Amino acid sequence: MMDRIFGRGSLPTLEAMLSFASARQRVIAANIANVDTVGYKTRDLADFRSVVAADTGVLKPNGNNVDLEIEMSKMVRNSALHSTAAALLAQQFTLLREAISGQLHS
Amino acid sequence: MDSIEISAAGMRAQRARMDVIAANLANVDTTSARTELRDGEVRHVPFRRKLAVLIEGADGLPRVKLVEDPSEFRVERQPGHPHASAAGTVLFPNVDPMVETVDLMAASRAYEANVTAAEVAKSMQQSALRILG
Repeated sequence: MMDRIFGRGSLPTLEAMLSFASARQRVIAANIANVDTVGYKTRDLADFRSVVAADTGVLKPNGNNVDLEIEMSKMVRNSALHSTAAALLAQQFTLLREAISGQLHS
Repeated sequence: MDSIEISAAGMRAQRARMDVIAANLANVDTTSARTELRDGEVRHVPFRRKLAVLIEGADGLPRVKLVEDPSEFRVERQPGHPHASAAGTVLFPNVDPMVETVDLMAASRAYEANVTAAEVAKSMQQSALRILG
């Protein structure tokens, strides 16, 4: 029964968006942490690799190709994705609560 | 690994770099870090510039490796200097304050980038908590 409430509609997708954004934040944070690490190559999650392959930074003399500007902008976009998913999810739960209680939530 | 911990590892690595740079700058004129006996004469060996090289650890986080800069010492002729050789020359550290300053700025910027990443991770966690209403 719970699965019919929480396992349908946009909830699973929004949940997946949230966990994707969290996982991607970890990858981006690791790229930024390794901005000066010898030989380190920029990483990204599989789904976005095709997008990112085009904009990886130039190879520095120490074999590192992390571009701080690219990573920071990826992080901002990812954080926007995360807050969108979080806001939509909160909205869905408000709707559910209204449906259950039968009264509008202010 | 939590993203805030990852950013903290980045900050730690950059701060280690800044520590090494500060030690280089502090020792820019240290003409006798140790002495050695060569040809029956006590020679003063100046401070040798150190470099913090970041290498990737097994967990994907940066590790600091300290290496010495093998470049030549600066030689100056100062016969009255207490650390001068019999020939009247003094060896000075291979530290260039300009190079150190630029490295310090780079490390400081990279540190700030990690701070920003930690702040973003924090606000993401907070917005996830707000789902609870």
